[in-house]
Amino acid sequence: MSDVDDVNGNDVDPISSWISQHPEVWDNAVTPLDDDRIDALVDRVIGRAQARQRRYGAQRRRKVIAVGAVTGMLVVGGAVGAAALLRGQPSQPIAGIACQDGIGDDAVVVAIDPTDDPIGGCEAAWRAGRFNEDRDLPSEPPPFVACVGSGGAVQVHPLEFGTCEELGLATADPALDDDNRSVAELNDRIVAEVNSSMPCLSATDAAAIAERVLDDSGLSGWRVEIRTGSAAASCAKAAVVADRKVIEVTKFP
Amino acid sequence: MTDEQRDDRDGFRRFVGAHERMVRAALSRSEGNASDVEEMCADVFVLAYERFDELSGLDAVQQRVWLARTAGFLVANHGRRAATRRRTAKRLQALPVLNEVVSAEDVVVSHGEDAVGMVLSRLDAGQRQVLVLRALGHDGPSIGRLLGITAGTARKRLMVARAAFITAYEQLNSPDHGQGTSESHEGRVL
Repeated sequence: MSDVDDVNGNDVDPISSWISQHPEVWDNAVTPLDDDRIDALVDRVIGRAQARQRRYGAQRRRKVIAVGAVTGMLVVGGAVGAAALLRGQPSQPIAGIACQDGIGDDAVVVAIDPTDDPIGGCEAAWRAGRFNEDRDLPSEPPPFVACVGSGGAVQVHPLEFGTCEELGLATADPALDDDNRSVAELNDRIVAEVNSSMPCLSATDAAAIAERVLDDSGLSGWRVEIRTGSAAASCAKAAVVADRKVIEVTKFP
Repeated sequence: MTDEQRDDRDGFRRFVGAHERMVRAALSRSEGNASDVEEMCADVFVLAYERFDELSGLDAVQQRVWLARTAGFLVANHGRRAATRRRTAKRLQALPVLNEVVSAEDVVVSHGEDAVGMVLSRLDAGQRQVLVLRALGHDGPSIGRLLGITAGTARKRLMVARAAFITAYEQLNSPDHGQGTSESHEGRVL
């Protein structure tokens, strides 16, 4: 034991070395949990393990992967669509395309930019391995169908999970109609002329430019709004809200 | 809940009750806060639950080796991004429960009559606590934080505990001590 006195603050001493090799004495470091807390821990552990088993049992997990410039605006639809959306045009034409490897909460979703060829875009994402991070999927994509999802965006999924009709969804038109194409172009111009402007535009200037871009688009029934509390902002950005037909100017950040 | 499920739960509860202190002690080395440690403790036991069929066939020391190693992995990966932690958990799921020794901490011998274990058991609970915390890698300020005392007080307690350990160890090995005991520890000098 001659070296024990030298150990103040040192990394290794004989006592510590022995203890570190004997987990059976580590209990002394902490006070025991009472019975209620042990029961709570056990319940939590069993609940979590069972949930994990269910998840891994299916070997799937819900995941949304954004590809390209598409933002988090994409609203991913579930298995059941809203009857009111039974038309072939998305109400969220600028939200991008939700490419899915299945249907429901455990589907992996790859979001791609709006395109006139949603199925082709999703096939390309599949071939690029976007769906394949944790699983061994075939490299060739399955036959896809394109529907308008319950969130109003175009949703593409493998046909084996059901046709759009079987899922209560509208079959997506092959391409955007003139109105939706104009909305997509409007969004592109707002991004380029307002949101990318350097230095940042004031709310008043952003709204003025948005009005000009809106006039140029030829869209009817649209308006520009400055969000409450943002009118005096020295830096503002604009968002195209397609379902409300509004370009909303908001202070930033 | 069926009878079988209730039996399973009871068996697992006994397992948790027997080892939760050791697991929490091992996890105390993490730099995370109390809620992180609690979360990692649940993670360790989730992995144990998934392998409980295998673990329940081992003796207590082997179970502790597995738990200590698993806790060590989780502590090492704490703070890394979620994907890395997920991969670690998957790797741990795949490891055999009786793996080959991977670090000095995995080398466990039953302390039974071992002199150090015997001396430790003669110290009071507070002295054992600071010695074990020190051995697990905590310094004075860290022990102070865990025990709600100042770093200076923690260091002082550690010094007192070491002195008490030395005294008890010397008494155990003195000629006055029982012949059988001194013979059994002949040649053991720390």
